[in-house]
Amino acid sequence: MVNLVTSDNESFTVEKAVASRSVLIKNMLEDVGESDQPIPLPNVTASVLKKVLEYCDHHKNEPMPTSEDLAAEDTRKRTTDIGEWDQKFIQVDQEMLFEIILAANYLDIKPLLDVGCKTVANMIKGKTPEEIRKLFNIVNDFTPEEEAQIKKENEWAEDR
Amino acid sequence: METILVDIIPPLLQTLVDRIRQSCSLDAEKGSLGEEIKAIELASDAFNTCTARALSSLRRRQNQLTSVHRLPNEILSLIFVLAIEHKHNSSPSNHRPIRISGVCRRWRAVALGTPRLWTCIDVAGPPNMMETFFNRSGNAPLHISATMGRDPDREKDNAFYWSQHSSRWTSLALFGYDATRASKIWEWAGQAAPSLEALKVYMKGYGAPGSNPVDLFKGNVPPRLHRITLVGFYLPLTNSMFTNLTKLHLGRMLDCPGTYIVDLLQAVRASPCLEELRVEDVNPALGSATWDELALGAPSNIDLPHLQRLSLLLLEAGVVQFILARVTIPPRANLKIDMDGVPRDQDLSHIFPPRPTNLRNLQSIDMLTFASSDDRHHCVVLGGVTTDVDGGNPASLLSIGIRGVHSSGPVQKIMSSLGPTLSLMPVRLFSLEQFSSRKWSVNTLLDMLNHYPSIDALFFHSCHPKFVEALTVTSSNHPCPGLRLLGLTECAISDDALISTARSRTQRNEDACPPGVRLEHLCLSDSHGGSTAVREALSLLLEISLYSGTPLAVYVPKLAPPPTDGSGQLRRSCAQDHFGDVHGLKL
Repeated sequence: MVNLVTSDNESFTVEKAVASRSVLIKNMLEDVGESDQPIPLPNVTASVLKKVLEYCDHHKNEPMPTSEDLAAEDTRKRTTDIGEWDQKFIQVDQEMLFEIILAANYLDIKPLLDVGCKTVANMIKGKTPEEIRKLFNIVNDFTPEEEAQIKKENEWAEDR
Repeated sequence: METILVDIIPPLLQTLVDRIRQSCSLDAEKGSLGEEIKAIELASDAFNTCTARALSSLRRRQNQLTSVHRLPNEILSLIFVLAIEHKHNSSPSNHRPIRISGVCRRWRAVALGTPRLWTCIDVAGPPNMMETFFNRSGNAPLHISATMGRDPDREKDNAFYWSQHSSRWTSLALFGYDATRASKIWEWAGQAAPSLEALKVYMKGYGAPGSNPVDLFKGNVPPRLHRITLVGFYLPLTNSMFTNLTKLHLGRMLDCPGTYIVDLLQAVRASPCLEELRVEDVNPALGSATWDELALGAPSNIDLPHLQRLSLLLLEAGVVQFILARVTIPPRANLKIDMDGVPRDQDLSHIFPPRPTNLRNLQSIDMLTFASSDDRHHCVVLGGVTTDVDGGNPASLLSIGIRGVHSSGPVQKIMSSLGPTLSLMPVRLFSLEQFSSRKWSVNTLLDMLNHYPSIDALFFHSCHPKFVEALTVTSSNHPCPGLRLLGLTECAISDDALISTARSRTQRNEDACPPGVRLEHLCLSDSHGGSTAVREALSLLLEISLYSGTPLAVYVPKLAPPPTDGSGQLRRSCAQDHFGDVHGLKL
């Protein structure tokens, strides 16, 4: 078992197979060898780690992506298809969604990072800039000159 | 607001104008009305610019507080690339990257710093657009897409523009209404494209011999071309581009010669690393030739160890059998067959070769579903493996969809030929769905089940009760001898009939039921979910699970101990997969 300690000082004891879905933790475990020492995760809160561990536990028996897989993904066309379980798992509020993405990035859990990014990508797809701003609470911060250039580009895109 | 306009702005404006007069040499005569207007115009412009910049800066800081802006640039960049994804049979939209780059300043900076975002190009826009995409895509490989027939002059100009960068092409997709128009495209597609990996041509209607240029790429086949899709666009498969492929998709071909299928097999043999083969609505005209004659020139025993998907759709049974008899596909490949208008005298034995051991995926299938449609005019057979070799999720390995020209013909024909034709499948879990016609034969079903002696779990969903009752064991009849688990949903079987059938398969029936495997588990839902008569009659004999959307209860037999060899857990897992996934019920 592995003991993980979050930024808000909460402890989680999990199976090694679950914790090792994180390449960061896996490497740390390999570096320190067998040890009872808790692993601090200063960038992850308890509520987010709980969710991340739920994902890791569900996928613990799946093969880890190899470096060849990752290289192939870069060259191949990516798709935004998400598995059924993952879709339900990632149905969280926006705040938590971004926290999960950040945690997946920090902990180096590539498949979870993919699920998070695909979810955000699917939220963006087919929306106008104004709709995207509304969705993410963003305001239009362009200067008039930039605005004019963007307007021109939109006209070009319309012209076909 | 009034106070601002009356008391604050006028003196400030006067000060501003005076300062501008001092620092700028105005063209108009000093003290003139023109000079006054010019000075105020300059002051106004400067003020507006300053205000806009200050607002932009403040809004930028406001954006930094949003949760989406906590994502680092590299993740935003990845999200943007995913967000411009387009369907495989449609052209990319130039709108998508433009829209993403028009959300806010940070998104624009990230978008403009992501060359990959600008590499999927529909060559339909004006020159400025093409230049923008070209510049922003840096040196990244390009995915060029062209829809022909909208504006031929512009298409030609753009084609020429992009042909200058053909060394960066990695995929080329052409869409159109008329294949003959494609000849213009080939003028520039014929340029050397050393990096081209994928070619897609989608034309409306059917492709036929003689309608397209034969000297595609002017004989200079791109050395890396491994993925080819031709729909409604005929090319002879003897072309040297049909070798060393990883993906080949041919669709909507008309009047092609009988040798086309032989050439297809030659191309497949010349592509030992093929991962995906899809042949759809390609029906050769045999003329006076027969399949036996064509077989003389066709390669056989084509081993495709890397094949993941083989889809044979809307083809004549003879074509399907001709192909299936000659390829060897690996155990985890997915085979999909879809047929429309199957004549009354045809069944699975006309589609599959005799004893198809070369289709090694069939030998992995332990979970089979036979489902009729609501209108009973067509049926599907779905095969899968409950657990993948690596302990992964259940995998789909077989899908056969058949629609007949006569009502309910295919359902009985396919049911009766399923066992004799594909008996090499080690089926353990069999599911029957919508097998609801009273006219359909019980013997046909039982004969089919007899071909799969390894079945230990049977599920009936929306089936006529007579098919469930047919499982009753008598001194002379023991269908499905290995059955341990029976699941029923919406089968409208009476309590008495169900009790009688179930009892006949338990230890209570030792006289009639020969020693060996007994029914141990009954999964019920809907009408039987709350039947106390069934529970009272059977709960001492076997385990009963009741469902009504969510699990209600599990009645474990008091006399018979649960199996200790772990098989009970496996059966429960099968039931969970089945009820959970197929019928939307949860264990």
